[in-house]
Amino acid sequence: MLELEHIHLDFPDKPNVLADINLQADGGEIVGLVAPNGMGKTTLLKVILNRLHPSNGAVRIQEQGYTSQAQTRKNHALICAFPEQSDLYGDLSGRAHMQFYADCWQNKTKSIAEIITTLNMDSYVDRPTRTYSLGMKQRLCFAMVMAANTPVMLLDEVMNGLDPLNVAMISEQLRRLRAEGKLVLIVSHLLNNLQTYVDRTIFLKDGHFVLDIDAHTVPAQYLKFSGDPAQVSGATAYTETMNTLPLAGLDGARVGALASQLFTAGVAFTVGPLTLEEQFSHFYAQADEHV
Amino acid sequence: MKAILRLDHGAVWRSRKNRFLLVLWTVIGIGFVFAAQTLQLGDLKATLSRSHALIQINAGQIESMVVPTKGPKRATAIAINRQAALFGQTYARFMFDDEAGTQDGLIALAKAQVKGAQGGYPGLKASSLPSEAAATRTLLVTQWLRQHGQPLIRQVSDAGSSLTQAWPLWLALLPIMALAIACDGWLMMSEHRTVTATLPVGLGAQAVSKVLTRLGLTLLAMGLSGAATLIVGALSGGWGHLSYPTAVALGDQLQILPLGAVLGLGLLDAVLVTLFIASAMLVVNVLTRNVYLSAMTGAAALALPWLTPGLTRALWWLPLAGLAPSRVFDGTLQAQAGNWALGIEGSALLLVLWTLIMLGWFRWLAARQVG
Repeated sequence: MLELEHIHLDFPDKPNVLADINLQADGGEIVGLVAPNGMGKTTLLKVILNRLHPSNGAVRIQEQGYTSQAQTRKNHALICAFPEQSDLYGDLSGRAHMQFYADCWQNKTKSIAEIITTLNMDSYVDRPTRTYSLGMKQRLCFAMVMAANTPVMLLDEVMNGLDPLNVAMISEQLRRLRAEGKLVLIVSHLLNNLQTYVDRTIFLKDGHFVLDIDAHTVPAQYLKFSGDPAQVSGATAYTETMNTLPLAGLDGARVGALASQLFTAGVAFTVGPLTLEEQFSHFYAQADEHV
Repeated sequence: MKAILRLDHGAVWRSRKNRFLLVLWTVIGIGFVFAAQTLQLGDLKATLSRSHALIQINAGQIESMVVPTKGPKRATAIAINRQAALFGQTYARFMFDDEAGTQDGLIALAKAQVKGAQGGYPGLKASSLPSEAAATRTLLVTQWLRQHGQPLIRQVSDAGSSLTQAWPLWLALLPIMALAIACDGWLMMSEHRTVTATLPVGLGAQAVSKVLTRLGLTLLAMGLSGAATLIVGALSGGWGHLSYPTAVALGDQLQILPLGAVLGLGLLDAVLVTLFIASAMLVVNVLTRNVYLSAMTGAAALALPWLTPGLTRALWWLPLAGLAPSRVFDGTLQAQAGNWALGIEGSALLLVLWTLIMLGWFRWLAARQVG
């Protein structure tokens, strides 16, 4: 459904913002895009939307590239991006915004009223958006994308400013969208939350995709502990505060012995797969924040 | 297209700036009658007094020089003196309430002023006497009234006389009003970039939507102002003469039309002027990306036909004349050039052509913009 082929983008003062990016993603999938601030996540979304033109490579939506203005319009009919709160029309109501998106993208199947109820927006949706709190605006922006009801949805920091209840509600909605066959490409810094619903997580660093984690494969197990990695033979420092030892090939008795050793030494440890947060810290520990 | 029209409609009508302009225009319409009566606009006695004063000033100027016994300055002196004499006769008949005599006197005076204006009054440093167009308008209107046995409007006292004085003001202010409404046409979109950047709606359709919504607001403002003046005038002194003869530059010369027809033409012209200004402001918005710079650029363009009428006449194929509709209607721009393009039909056609050019240019510019 969405294909990125050898995407390369330079800015005048910054080369290789995106360097040979390749991606194929289909409907019924949630793909998480992860990177620290300034690494090019939003830039990549703009390239997908044709708001930025790559110097090389192609973006194809349902096998059609941005080859002309007419084709661009057709592609935009298939894809909707999460708008920024600051761009909402202050004098228009939330319902008017949603209806606008539904009409623009000719959504005739999903009811606006149903979306409003599902996202608990009934109490404020008919007020002008300038009266909304940050959380209300964030929910409205998500509701607008739902109202567009496009096959491909790009969500940039959709969970920003939401309390845990709303984060859980949006997460549930994302699962429903996947069940409806949508392709959702989501950028989020709430990695623990992201891990609960994505099918794939892609790490972007220095213009490249450095890691592509399939959530459906059985993850490798690790012994994770703090302190000096030399405490356990074969362990390495994974992040500044955590060392790891892969447990593949080790039997239960050996794992138990190692755990007992660490316990006796009073060292904190866990056994389990690497979380997204741990992998994030590992990959970006040395990265400078780009503005 | 419907969706973007609905969004633009909502955004335009909910804009505080636009609501303020709507109220302001309506207040102008309401207050015009009272202002006109206070300032004696359209008051025949006051007008005659002013004409007399101007003739005397110019006569004094020419007499203060050593007037040669022959040559162009002598001709100017004779022309001024003739006008002074004709004015004296006219004023005397006016004071004796002789309607037919007053009209005959005004006709003779206007003919003399047309001839004088055509001659250019050599020797006068600055002629504040009526221009050829102004004198011709007086001549045509008075001749028509004389032929049909109808009286001159003596003062603003009813709906008809109010509208007769008001419509030139509306036409003069129309471009400013349209500019104020349209100066942020595309920038309103830019302020909501992530909401509107990737809509599956063509740039042409978006441009048309923005232009149409602003046209609607401008027409409503003009309609409300006109209605306000009509109602206040009617309350003041009745409906009056709603078909009063009005001279406008139709074709390649001034012609008489009833007031109602002129108002209709004015409304049609308002549509074309607003469409052009709204389209042009889309282009300016894309180029400047700043509402204040856009407004200043637009204001400078609106000032051109007033400050440089010669340039406007020379560059008749540009839409400059259309930006001063009051001067198009009253024949000021056309009179000296004798150019059909500077009359109502010509300027209207040019506005249509340049509106299409602006829309095409905007579409090309906006498509090039990225990010």
